[in-house]
Amino acid sequence: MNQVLLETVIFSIPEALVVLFLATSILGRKYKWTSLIAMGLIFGVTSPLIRYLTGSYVLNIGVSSLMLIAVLKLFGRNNVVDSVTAGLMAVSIYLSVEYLNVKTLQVLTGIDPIVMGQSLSMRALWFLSQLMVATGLAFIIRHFTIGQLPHAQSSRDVRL
Amino acid sequence: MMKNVHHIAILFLAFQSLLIVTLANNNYMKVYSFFQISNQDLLESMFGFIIVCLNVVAVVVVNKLYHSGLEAQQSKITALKYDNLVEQNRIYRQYHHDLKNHLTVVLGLLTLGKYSELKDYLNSYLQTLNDSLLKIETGLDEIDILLASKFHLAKSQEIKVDLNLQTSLKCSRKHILDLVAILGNVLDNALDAVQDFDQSKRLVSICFRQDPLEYIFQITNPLCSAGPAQSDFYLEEGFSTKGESRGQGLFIVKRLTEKLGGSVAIDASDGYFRVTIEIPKHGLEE
Repeated sequence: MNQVLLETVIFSIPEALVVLFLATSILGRKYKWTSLIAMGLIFGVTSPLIRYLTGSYVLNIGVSSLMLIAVLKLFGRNNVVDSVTAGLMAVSIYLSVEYLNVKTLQVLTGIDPIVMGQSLSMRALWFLSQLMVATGLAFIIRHFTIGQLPHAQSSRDVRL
Repeated sequence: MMKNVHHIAILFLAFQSLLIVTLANNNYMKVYSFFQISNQDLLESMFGFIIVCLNVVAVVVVNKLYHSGLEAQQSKITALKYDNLVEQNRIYRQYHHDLKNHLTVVLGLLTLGKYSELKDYLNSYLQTLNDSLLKIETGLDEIDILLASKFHLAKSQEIKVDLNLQTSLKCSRKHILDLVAILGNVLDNALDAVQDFDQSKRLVSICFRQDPLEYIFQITNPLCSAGPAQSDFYLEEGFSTKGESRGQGLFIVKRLTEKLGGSVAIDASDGYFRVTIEIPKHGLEE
């Protein structure tokens, strides 16, 4: 039980926050940090549950994407099309970063990813790099969707 | 059901991206038998079915996007024609408004028996009417509209325009807006440049001609002060003699002309600012 809680705090919640940050960056909307954290907590806490219930990677991704879309729609106050588009694109970008990260670390270190996953500290280190890259990407996307579009910035700012 | 084809296309693209990444990740994990479903065959069949469905939907989405693009192009041309109609309507309303005043003058001159003055007055009025009903035929309706609109603008600013059409233009639908933008910008620049001159120097010359390979458009106006004689300097983004936040016109002209495979040359050597635009016929007509 403690292991599950620890993994939720170390991995699921930060991952959920980054994916949500990516999604809001794609949407080009500004949220208060507190709103983002609240949405991240909801999504992050439900992620391990979804993972446990689905039992397979593909189903897990499908249900998690639906969950993210629901969070964006209900708590982010976006319309359905925007929520679906941003949710799917954010998950897609995050997964591609994750894939590249694992593959690169495997090539560089020569360690089997299953072995790497068994050690919590190694897994946290490998996870940190993908988190940083995804956050960097989110900031870049944010620069183009918010910084470069003054009209969007003024008319679509949201304060929750 | 959603009607907006662009929304459908965006959702479709986002879903495809997610599917590709999920498949790639899942294949990678399958090698290590990590987090996999027990019935792999069912999963692969499901993916196969989804991919076939996506391919079928892709044909519909591409078709809809293509037609939507054509409609958008058509609406831009319609908007251009509508603008001209509004301009024409404004001119006719202005003449209609003036008519009452003219009739009052005519009646006054008749009452006073000043037939000679009346004759001069009516001749002058008819001349004005003839000028306003000037018919331009370049071969392209959109360019006719543009030139007519600029002529009326020039007339209202007391600028004389010398038009020399030596060719009939041909241009495909997809390039017509670019050609309108090119000529519109150059004409605006020329009319803008002579606005502050004495009335005798307010002259803009327009010449459309062709050689076997190209259409050549030349627009000339007098210069108020000497600048670099022949240079790309004028075509740089932001260059303007009219102050800050200007200077986009000729840069846009250069960009659009090059897009059509043509070139822009500027000659400011003899007290005149002469813009020569050469566009290959195949670039406009294809």
